[in-house]
Amino acid sequence: MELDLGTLADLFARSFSLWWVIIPGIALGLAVGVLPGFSPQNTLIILLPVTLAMDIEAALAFMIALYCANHLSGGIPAILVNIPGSGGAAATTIDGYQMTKNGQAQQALVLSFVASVVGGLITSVAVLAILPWLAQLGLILRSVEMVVIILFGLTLIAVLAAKDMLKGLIGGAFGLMLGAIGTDQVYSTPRATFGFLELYDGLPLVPVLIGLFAVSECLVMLEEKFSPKAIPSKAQRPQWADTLDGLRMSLKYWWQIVWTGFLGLVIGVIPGAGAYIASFVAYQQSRLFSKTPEKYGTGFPPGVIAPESANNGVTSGTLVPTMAIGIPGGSTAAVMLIVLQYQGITVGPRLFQDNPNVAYGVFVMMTVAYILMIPLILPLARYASKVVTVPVHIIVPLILGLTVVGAFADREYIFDMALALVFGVIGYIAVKTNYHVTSILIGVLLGPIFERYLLRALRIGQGDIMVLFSSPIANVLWGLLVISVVYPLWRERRLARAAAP
Amino acid sequence: MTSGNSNITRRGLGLGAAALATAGLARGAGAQAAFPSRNFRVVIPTGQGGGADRLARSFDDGWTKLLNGRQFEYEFFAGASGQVGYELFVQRREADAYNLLFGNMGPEMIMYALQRPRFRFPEDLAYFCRIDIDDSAIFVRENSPMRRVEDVIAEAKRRPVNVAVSRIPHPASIGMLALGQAQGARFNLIPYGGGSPTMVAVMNGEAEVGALPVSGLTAQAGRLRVLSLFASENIVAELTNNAPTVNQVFGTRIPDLYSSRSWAIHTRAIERFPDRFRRLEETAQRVFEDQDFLNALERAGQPRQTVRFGNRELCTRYALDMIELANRFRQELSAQR
Amino acid sequence: MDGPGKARKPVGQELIIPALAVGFTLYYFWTVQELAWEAKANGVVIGLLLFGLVAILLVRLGVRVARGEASLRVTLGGDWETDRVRLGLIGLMVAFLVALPFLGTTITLALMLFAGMWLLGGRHWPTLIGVSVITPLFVWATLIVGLGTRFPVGPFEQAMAALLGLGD
Repeated sequence: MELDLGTLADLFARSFSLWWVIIPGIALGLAVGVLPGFSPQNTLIILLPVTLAMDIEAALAFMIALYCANHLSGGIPAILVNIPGSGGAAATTIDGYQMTKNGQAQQALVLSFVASVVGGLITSVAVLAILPWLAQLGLILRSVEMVVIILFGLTLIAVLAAKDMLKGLIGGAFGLMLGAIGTDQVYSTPRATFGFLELYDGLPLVPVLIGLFAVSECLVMLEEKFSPKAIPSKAQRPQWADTLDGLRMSLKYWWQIVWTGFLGLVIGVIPGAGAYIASFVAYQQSRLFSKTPEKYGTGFPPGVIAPESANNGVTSGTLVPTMAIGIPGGSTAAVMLIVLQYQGITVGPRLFQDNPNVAYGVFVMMTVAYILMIPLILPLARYASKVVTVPVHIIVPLILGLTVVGAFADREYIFDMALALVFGVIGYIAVKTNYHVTSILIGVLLGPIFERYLLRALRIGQGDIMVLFSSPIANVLWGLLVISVVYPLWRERRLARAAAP
Repeated sequence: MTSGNSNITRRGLGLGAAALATAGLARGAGAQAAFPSRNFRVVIPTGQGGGADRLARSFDDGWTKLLNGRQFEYEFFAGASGQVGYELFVQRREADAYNLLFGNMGPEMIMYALQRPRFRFPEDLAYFCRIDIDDSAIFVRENSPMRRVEDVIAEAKRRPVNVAVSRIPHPASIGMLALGQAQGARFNLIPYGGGSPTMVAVMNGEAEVGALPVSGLTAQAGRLRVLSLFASENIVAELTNNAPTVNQVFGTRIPDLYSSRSWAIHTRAIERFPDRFRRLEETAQRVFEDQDFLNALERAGQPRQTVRFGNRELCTRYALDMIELANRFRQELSAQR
Repeated sequence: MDGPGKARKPVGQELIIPALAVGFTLYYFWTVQELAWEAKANGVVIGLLLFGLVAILLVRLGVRVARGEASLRVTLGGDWETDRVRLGLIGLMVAFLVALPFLGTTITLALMLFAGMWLLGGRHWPTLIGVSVITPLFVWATLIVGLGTRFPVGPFEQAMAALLGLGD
């Protein structure tokens, strides 16, 4: 699996020559990512007849561009209207929307774009360098390790609940219970489905996301109509100065972008772990290692950078197991696999000898896609931030209409639209009574995968709970987990003691 | 659980010219029959990118040509071991012969027996075109200390051995349970919810042994080693180092346990539109002579030996056998206590 | 609020989410009672944890009510006028879902957008008509015609399909 510079230069030249498919891919990915309910894998499945008819390199470049751009644009509505375009952008709302409220919408968008592009870019370059080694990672991390990694994400529930721990934990536990709807992991027996076939697969992510964030936010926004002073004043007129300000912030926190991007990469390599685990874990870790954790949640730039860089780091990661062992790292990668197989390309270890152009090519294409995104997105930041100036009486019905349509589009059930409304009301009550909606969402998102890996681990241990502490890597992770829970508490007490002499 | 369709080429994106051309040719070739006059909609009760998805797409390459160039649009409903897809198909898709289901009869009939979904077989649903016979196989990773299936049994007599499987209700899982029973060995089945994660679990050593349909394993030769098959003969012997069958090795009489993908239709559609059904039946059988189909399969990594047409009668008999077998192992396979 | 008149702070609303959570958990327990431990272990542990947390919350609120600092009155903090619009909007969305299978996506979406903007006080006719006509047409052209997503169809979609020869 060696790669010389001549081949690499050649691959880059070929990828750049595919700009004519990469740019439409980016445009479509951006558009699809903004709307909750339209996932990259759905879009790619719908477009399969087109991509199957294309030349293999063009098809791959198109799909990769769409996929990466999609992971970038989920942050746009998260920042502007507190509605994540996908699960991977849910963590972005915490600080992103606060920045908008503080009149820094454009800066937040620039931060999220730069973090996404740079996070994606450096990780895809890194993959080119260390691919053989990375491929092993997917084989090292097993169910036990995954249990601990997901627990890192779950501790975010407690972190978010810092203001009122008890309510935060109740919200999180409620989310986890809701996440237990659906068939069980071992025997496929339905639980708590209210008899609805639509819930056998578990609570669908998209309608819950739309309900908790979009619909509830619309109900909250009505207040602005009747008390105009709540409208962010500085966001009225976008200026290039704000764009530059955002770039300056990105430079200041460059190290955040780098390490959260790599965190995303590692999580992306693990088959089955997705962008939302990465973004929540990145946010939690970023806050943990920060010198000023109290600023998180108030519109603090690293709170936008961490999840956005991580969820684009995932894009590079998911393709690693796909190419190296022939097993897709996620559902989007599974669709790409169909195209590869249709063209007669067998993925897996032999791919690097048989077809290095494809094996390394996809990561080069990804790098190129990120490079081509740069000139497209900075103007986007400037004009997209105008959204916050649309009057409430227009934007509320529009958001409601389009997101409820999005709730349908994912699975094509009218049931899902109704579900979005139900969760909209739950979300509104939660917001108004200080039960963090993000805590509920984390429960719903991470609950089912936590149960899956936990039960698998327990079954492997044949009922012995000590199996959870049976692997050296997992034990190191457990240690880190304990530190990340205890350290902030210790630090707070020390600060409190220093403040009150 | 997502949906997609293969319709977009004809809707003017202009990129799928090739597909369009073949469609046009078939239409021109004098297929005047009124049926089909529009595209088919297919429910697949497993995930996108899975075995059924790939097989269906390979098959429809050939089938489309025989059906006035009409295409197949797929929807994926993977919940509850296929229960969601089947119930949805039976209850919410019109019985008009334009709505079809493409499923894996083995595991899904076991699901039917164990989970008692809201439809009846064969009263509501009929399988009519079996595409393949994919025998269940026992496998380990290449560098496993267990070199032969006898080693696996010897170990499982000493202690319970962890076996990665796709689902608990699956022919391969029943095979492991039956083998354990016959030999006094203990197997601890761990469901991974799909073929790919099951293979990863064996590769990374989380589970010592795996049990899956053999066709996906042949593509991983060099990483995974097939030890034995639950079949009367090993039809992919050259791809699996001549692995012996379980019954050969142990003298047991475990029935053949294979996955078997097939097209299905509403039974009511057969009664209402017998001529439409006849056309589907007759054209589907002809796809097996189509070189394009066999090439597409090869590209998707499915060994040619596993492709074997089966008509409605054969399918129904197999499905009923599976239901009976599942009922025999109900205690081990179901969560109801 | 916390003036010298000892106005008691309403806290009843803080019990809505816990009540939903406890109610749902009880239902969950009821559906899994006959299943193998693996099918319910995770949910039961989290459910019991939830009960514990809610119990602590009840004690905390109980103490405040007993001390006369809080009352169990329920309010979400909205004024009556806004709440009325809010309920109207929810009612509108329910009507949208009911009408959807009959009128089809395009027409229902247009009506919903128009009514929603009107309800929120929009009276600028060009905007009202522009938004409620262009948005549904865009959804129809991209999602229904372009991507072939199976949204409920009604008279508009059928007429356009017949006119343009799109649907088959």
